[in-house]
Amino acid sequence: MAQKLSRREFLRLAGLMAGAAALAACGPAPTEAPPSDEGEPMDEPASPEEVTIEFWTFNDFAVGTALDLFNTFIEEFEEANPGVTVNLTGKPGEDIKTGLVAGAGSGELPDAVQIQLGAGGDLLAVEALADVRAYWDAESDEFRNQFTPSVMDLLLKEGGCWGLPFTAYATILYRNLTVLREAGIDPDAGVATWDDLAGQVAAVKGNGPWGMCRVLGSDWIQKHWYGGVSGTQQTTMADDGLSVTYDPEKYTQLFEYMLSLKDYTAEPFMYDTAATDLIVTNQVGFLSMGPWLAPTLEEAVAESGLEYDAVQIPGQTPSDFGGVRGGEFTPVMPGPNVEMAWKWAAYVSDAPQTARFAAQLGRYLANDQALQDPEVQANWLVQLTAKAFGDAIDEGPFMMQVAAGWGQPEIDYGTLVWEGEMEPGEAAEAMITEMNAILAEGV
Amino acid sequence: MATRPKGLLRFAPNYLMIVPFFVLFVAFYLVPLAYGLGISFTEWDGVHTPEFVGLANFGEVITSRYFEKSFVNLAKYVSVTMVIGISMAFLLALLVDSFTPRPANVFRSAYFLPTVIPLFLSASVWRWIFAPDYGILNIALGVFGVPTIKWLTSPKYMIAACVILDVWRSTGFNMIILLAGLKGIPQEYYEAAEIDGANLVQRVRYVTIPQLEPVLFLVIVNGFISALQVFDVPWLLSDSAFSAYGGPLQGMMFPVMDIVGRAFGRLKFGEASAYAWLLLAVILVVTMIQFAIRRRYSD
Repeated sequence: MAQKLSRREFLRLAGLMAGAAALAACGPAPTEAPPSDEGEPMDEPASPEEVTIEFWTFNDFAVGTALDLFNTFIEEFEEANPGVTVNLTGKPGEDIKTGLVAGAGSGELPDAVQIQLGAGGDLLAVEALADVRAYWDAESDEFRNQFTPSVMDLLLKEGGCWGLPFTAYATILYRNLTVLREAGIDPDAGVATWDDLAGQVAAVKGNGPWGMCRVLGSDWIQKHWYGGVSGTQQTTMADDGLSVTYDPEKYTQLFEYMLSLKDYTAEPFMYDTAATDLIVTNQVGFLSMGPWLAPTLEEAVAESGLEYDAVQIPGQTPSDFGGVRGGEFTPVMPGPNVEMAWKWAAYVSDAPQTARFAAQLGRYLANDQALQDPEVQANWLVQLTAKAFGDAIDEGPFMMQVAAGWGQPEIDYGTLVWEGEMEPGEAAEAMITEMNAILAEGV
Repeated sequence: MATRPKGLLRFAPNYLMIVPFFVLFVAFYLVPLAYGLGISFTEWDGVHTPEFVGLANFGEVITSRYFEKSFVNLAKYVSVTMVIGISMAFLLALLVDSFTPRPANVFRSAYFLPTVIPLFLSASVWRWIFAPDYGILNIALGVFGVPTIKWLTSPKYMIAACVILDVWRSTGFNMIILLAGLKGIPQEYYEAAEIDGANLVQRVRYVTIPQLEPVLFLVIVNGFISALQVFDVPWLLSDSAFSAYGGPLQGMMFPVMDIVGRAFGRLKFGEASAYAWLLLAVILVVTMIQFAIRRRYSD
């Protein structure tokens, strides 16, 4: 017969369980990481001999060749800094931002991350970025002068230093050479203007495949082409973040141009998986996209014999160019490991490392010294992206906090124009008015 | 002979048994709920000291740009996805229940598979399936002469796209619950109904549904609560980001998307909390109506 639990034993057991649950739920709150004073080194970590750096990067840098490279960097860094361990975690960009915003409030922050320049403004507002100006000033001139000045200036705002530049991108125009040749187009002739492109997409469509994929209805892709309108500014946002710099007449020209190409345009957006399928299977002639598309196309070259190249997105005249640009940087978070996290950020961003990143991944880095590396110089994609970066317009405000949702009207009015529900001129005016109204609400 | 304890002491062991759950419930549900209510009366960016603003956040939310649109979208979405989703789950449960054990196991696993596939993967695949001209769905519709549908960019069809993906994902899960309920219905009831001359539809109507009612009610209530908080499906399908979310012409704008956008896009946690409490009120009202209807018809 099973032995029954006595009332006393039962009450004792239940009391122990309740107490354990209460202790688990009411554990000590994580201590808030003290914000650093301007550039002063932080307190020593709990164990000076062993430091673990929690490092978040983008999930596409945490796979494949990029991950192999980062693991190599980690091994080299750990060998040079005994007792230091770097833990790399890949996350989508939005998750990195939300994690930092939540962590800023709770004090649970990683030590260093990589994040878009566009998120920098919000992160500054919630004090999630450590000011590492003292460490920056202590570096040699050679180290400091290697970075692209226009990008580094963004990170030195308000007298501080909020991180180091890493990757940058500019969108380019991929061309399916087989589709072009079969349509009677000589790829060597290039595509210098919007008129050239219009003629070529029409010729491609006349031969069967689509000329290009859809632009209107995506704020990001519309920016690829808006920059090609003569006389547009490279910044899309006013300095105070309360209005856009778009000109209604110029945006009307973009709307009208894309409508004129509608018969030659496939419905999938340029960034859709379906659009990639189309160019890989010789069903579309032109696709504007970032450099990250190149590895997929290279796989197709090997597997199915795809022939492609890329050029700068043309503008209205031969001296105008389209393209949108953006960048990512490596900031350090406030906490006990700021000094070692800075060392890691500086190591990853340094020319020898970024040159390897650029050469092997074909990704443009905002590091002028790395761009001079012979292997990087030989990489056509990096050189093209570097040229396009200089001519492209900003994807949005960098290191500036602005009202969220400001890009939505670009999507809405682009859609209305594409679907024939609104005239280009009327849509451009209404779009800019609405964007400015959202921005004027402030943060 | 020992006397039994009187009053509360008599039930002390019972109360002690629920203490662990209750402690965790208070810590992880009630405290955050109360905290959120408190934050909803403040302007707070998540880091600095909250500033009391009274009911201003609630007013700001109700008069905001996309508030009406998001609730209109929500009403359309919930009404369609609940009807289709629960009906399909019920029919699939009846179908699988009629199979012999081996094929029943196979089909049960197959229908449950979409529930366990990570949503970001499902959304990526479905974005491709929904692609105009070249997606499988449009190709299949084209065979029947239907022109290509812009599932993800035309506001007329965007909610339908969300419903399709949600039904695909959640039907298997609901089917499993209903199937378990069906297994609990005594066979004698069906035999008696057959003897009385009931056909298949009558057996389902007069035996299956009344016997399954408690489980069906659970599935329906849970389904409504889940549908009213829809976020991940439209966020992924519309390729939303904090700079622009909800898709073209806000065809996939829903309340929880706006809550997340306000919190992590605009760093307005006070407004986001106020919005969340307004949504909670809607969910509570809907749930109470369901319970009231159930009480009325079971009396």
